Amino acid sequence: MKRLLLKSMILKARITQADLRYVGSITIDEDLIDRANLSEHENVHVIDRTNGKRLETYVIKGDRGSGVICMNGAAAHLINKDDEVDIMAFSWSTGEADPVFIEVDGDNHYTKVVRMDEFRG
Amino acid sequence: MVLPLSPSLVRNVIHPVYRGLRGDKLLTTLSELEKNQWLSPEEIEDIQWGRMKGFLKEISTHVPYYRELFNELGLKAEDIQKPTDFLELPLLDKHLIRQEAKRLITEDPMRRGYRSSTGGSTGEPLYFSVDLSAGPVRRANTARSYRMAGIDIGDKQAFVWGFPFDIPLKERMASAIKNYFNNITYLSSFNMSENAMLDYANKLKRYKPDLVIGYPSAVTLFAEFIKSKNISGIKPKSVISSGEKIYPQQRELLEEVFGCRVFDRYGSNEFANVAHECDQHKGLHLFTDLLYFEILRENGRPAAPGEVGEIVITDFLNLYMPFVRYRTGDMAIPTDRVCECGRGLPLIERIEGRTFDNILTPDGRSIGGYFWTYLSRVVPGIKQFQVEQKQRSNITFRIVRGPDWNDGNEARLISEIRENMGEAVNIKIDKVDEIPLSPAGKFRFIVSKVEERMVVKSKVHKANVTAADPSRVDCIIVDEDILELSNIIPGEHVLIVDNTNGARIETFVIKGEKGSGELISCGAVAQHIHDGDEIIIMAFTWSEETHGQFSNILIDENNKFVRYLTEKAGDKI
Repeated sequence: MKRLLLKSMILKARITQADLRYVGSITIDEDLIDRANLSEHENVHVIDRTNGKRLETYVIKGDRGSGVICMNGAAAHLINKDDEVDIMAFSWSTGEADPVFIEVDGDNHYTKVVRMDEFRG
Repeated sequence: MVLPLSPSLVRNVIHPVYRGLRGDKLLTTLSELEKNQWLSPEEIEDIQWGRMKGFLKEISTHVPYYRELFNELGLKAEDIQKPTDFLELPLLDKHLIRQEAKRLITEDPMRRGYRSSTGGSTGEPLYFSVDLSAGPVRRANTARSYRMAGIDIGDKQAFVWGFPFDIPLKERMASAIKNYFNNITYLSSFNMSENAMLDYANKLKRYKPDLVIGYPSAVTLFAEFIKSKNISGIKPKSVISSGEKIYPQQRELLEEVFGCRVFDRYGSNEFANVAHECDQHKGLHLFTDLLYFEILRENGRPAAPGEVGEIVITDFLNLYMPFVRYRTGDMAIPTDRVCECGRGLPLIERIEGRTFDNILTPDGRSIGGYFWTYLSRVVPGIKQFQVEQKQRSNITFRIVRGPDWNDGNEARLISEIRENMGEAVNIKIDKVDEIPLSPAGKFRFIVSKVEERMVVKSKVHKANVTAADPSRVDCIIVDEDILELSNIIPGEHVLIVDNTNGARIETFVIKGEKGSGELISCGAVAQHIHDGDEIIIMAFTWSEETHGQFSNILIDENNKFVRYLTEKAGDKI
């Protein structure tokens, strides 16, 4: 049986830009994309910890190491610059859940990875 | 070692006398079953459906679970007259059996059952009960299936089998006596060390079995040993492969070493013998005079000849704790060929192994656990291994090297895998000091987590809503031209995001007039997406690949195609 399982999560990242005029969805620093096992065009849930808004969109690549996390287009109506967000991606899998949780610092630079058995929310 | 009895003594004296004393009519049943198999396919189907009707009548009367099920479905046993009617009944799986164990047992006080269980090779064992009256019929059916392989009652049989160590001494003694009088000897497949195999070989040289029967992985290992040590004098009439999928290279080796033909059989603890190969060696005959057999696609519809599907069984013999449409978790390939042997029992092409813990090939086949264990034995120096797959086209084979390893073995490993999985697969051999445990702390030698990610596949950028009509039902109507260009089809799920007000809505698409530029938000969608709003329409797919096709189009204020878009961070339009 296939289950929808958490695959990737970037914890408590900061929105660096929110621009209604931009094309696309959510721009994420390519380094974080790789470390979180995300891929370009992949569906993600963006959860705004600041205002409680939740939305689904997809990923486009931002400059590696730049720390960029930018909400583009209509999503900028809901999620604002400097809001704190969690970003999640799920996958359909016949295996067991083995997600990566990525922690970042205030500049959205990778600090460490946490596996599920150590993760306590 | 105790020497075997003469086969004719067992066949003509011990067996008939013992059966006569038990009064279970096994021999009468056997001759009836033997007769059945030569009937025409239509006549056998008549027998099967005759049994089916009686079976359904009884379980819908006496078994609480089925009585309520039939009630809920508004069905009577008589409503089920043909295969398509039967599809109406839900499937049964191990989980449901554990949950409904009590209600699956008949209330008919005349029926008696005995406890049984599966081996738990798939994780947790399943405990269930079997109708006492099924025993002799199943044994007769086993005798019929052995005769397909040229083995008669009383012929000497050597089982290379998982020998249960945990049964009480008394039971072990009882089965040793029974085995002796049935001319059966056991070689434990749990111990396949060189010393043990040397013992087995010496034992069989004296025992001179007519039949060697066992797990193909274990029997192959034994055959390799016999070959490498030039041991002669073990020449059975037949080899029967059971319990696992047999691979062509295993079959070849067994036929070479034992100098006889190999017959595949399929059975399980739940149903005993289900299917057996005959001397044509072109598929397995199904015992459809005793059970109802289906091979189903994942969507529950019957698989077509040549397609792989899951084996689903209904056993007419077990009226004590009946299983209707039981999902075995085993895969097989159906065929509509008729066997040249003349038996009317239908055929299946072959058994493909278990549903889970399979590695998938790029061309859509699945390769079960047995191939990988086989591989780890034929390539020297592999102490421990694990094969992991995240995408169909990629596997990682992790090995802990033993003293016999040399780096030349790596090429052998890759070529064996390629031969089975096809050229399109990327193979990574990872030499590690230890194999990591799964997050749940278990060791698994196959880690199949072919995962599908949700990725965007279609996007219509900057469309303008031409009308909002709350009187229609919930959907969005989009000009057919736009749908074609963005690779969205009518009925498809879409995410609409409103650039004007930030609303985000999921609904489905209805085709609008081609070239009209119309874009109408309908029903409750119209409450959020208004006439004149600028919106973006997105559609997603599930993909094993991280890079797929993305049809991303820009349209103008009249909803006419402008160009395809390639998005980069910070693009503005």
